[in-house]
Amino acid sequence: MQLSLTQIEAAAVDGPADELLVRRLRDGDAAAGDLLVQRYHQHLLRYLQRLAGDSHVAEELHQATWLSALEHLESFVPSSAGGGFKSWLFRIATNKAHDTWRSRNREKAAKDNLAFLRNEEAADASNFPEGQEQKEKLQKAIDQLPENQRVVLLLRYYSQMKFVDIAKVLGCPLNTALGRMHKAMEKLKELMEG
Amino acid sequence: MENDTDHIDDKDAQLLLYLADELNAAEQLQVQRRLESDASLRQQLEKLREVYASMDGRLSQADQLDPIMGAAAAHRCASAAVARWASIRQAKPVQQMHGWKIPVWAWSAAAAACLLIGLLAWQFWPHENVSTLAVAPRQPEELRPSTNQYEEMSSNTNLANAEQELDAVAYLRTLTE
Repeated sequence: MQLSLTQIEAAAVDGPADELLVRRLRDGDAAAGDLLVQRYHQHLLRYLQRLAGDSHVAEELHQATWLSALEHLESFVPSSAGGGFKSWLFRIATNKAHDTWRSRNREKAAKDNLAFLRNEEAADASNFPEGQEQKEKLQKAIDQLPENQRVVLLLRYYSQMKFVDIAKVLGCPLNTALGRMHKAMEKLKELMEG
Repeated sequence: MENDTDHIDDKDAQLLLYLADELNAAEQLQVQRRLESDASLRQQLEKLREVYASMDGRLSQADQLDPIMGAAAAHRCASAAVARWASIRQAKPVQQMHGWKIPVWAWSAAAAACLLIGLLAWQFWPHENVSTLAVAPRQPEELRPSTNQYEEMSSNTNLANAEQELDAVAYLRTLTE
């Protein structure tokens, strides 16, 4: 994974700290809130897209995440949320995605049918450029990962949170988060190269 | 969700954290020393680094090829929600915004006070209307009518009262039995 300073971190370093923006937003400063949205919306949306495998669902989840964050902004305590506002926001997004999965499990049969149709479509599209084909393959490989491994992998990649913070967000021991990451990477490599 | 297969041994965990630069200085030094002396560990680290770099490259390539669908719309929606929320915040007076919270200890103090008042009221309330029925079950043997009592009762001109008392005694007996 990318270990250098990320875009998110760079943005946070350039502008005011998240916690300051949260305080200003609580006082009714919409511009501070907009700055937070600007800072995180792309990474959050990308994370949700990869997690859900569907851009429309990701958009809905993105909106639901921000609404939920605003609803609970009063209860946000930077010191108790490991990793600060970013971790808190990604935790809300992950919970929203979990809720969606749970409700979607009831429609599993329909989803399986859809996946079958998607596979057929993919098989027909033999004229895909190589990069596009790889992209499709990657998303399919990500979709095949167990849910808990997928969440750790995508949280790490798109939020650039530390493993210790990811473990806090998911409420699991650090070793478990590392194990899920490791297995996700190995499986992804196997699926991509197989 | 969590199961045994999610765990990795401590050596792998340390390597992962080393690769992610998330070890403290002492731990980092420890891993570096082990790497210097252990060729298989070095090999393992290289393998890990390769897998991570490869996956990192694939994901970033896929992201470059795949513009975020609906990013602008999502941004607009989130910003609008924030603006709406902030305007509602501004409209509310500060006291209402933060809410008038009663501390937790006040609830327990209020409950204790209520209990105390209730006990005091019960203690000092005039109990003359409370019949012996309420006290009697504690001393059932005293309430058993003796022959003398029957005689007294029969000599009493107010038979109705005596009958009432006997009824009460009978009732108490059933209670105590």
